[in-house]
Amino acid sequence: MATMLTILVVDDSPIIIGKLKVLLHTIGYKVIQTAENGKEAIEAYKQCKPDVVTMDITMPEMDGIEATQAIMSEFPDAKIVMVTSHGQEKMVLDALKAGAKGYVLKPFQQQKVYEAIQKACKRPVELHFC
Amino acid sequence: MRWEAGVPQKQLIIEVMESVIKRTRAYFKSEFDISVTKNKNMIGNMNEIALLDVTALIRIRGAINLLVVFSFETSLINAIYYLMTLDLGIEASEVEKYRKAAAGDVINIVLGHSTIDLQRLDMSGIKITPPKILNNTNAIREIKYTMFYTQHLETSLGNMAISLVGAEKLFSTNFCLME
Repeated sequence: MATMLTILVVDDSPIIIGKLKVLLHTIGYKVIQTAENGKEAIEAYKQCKPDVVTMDITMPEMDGIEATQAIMSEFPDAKIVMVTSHGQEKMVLDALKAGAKGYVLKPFQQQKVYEAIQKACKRPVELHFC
Repeated sequence: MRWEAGVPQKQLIIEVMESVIKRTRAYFKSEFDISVTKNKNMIGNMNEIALLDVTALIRIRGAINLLVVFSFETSLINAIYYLMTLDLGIEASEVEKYRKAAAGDVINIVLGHSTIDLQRLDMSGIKITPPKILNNTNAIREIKYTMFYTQHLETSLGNMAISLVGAEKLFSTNFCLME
């Protein structure tokens, strides 16, 4: 059986954090910490070293693109998947350029989040949640 | 300013509103199975703007420089809050916090999707601020922008109003409201 992935969830909405926690738990991942903005995300990453980060983009204090750049510069092996409502191509490109390994549009579906995380970790994707 | 050639500012306001309404309808239908219909619309000075019970706003920055305001009747935002948090087990003491978050999530998701429609208007990328919930409805009148364009929307669970607030130059005297 594969090791349970640990996840840091970053979002300024308590509803999104709550929904992602439920969804990730259902898939079989473990949410080990949450953060409400980019600055908190950087600190949380250093503290808990998760396998994967789900990162919102539009947040107060520091946005998700800046936080991704900061985490990637210090931890080049970090696996960050953007989970955001921003659909414009420029934002997707900026996120990938910052080092994000995946991009999921809100409102998210379980299968899309699962696939993005599995691909970020180079793990096989199974069609459990269609 | 980086206006795309051939897009007058008046037309830009209409294009933004049409995108926001289209994305609101699509989101409400797919996520909550709520149908949205257009009602009256109006344009006016900021001292005339009418807000409903719970109001969330986001600023769009860059070539499109507007404040977008979503204002909900209590019954509608309560229904959305309920549907969004069904599986979260919210404690009674946190209901108000999550109800406000629901209003913020709606405007954030709708505007995030609208950036897909509007991206050609600002090739440097449309920037939106995090949502802010208005605790004091009078606060919006202190915003430096001077005019608004409001579209009222109806649903079976309550009404809402979407307003675009901006500088007067965006709203020409020949501004034509589209039905």
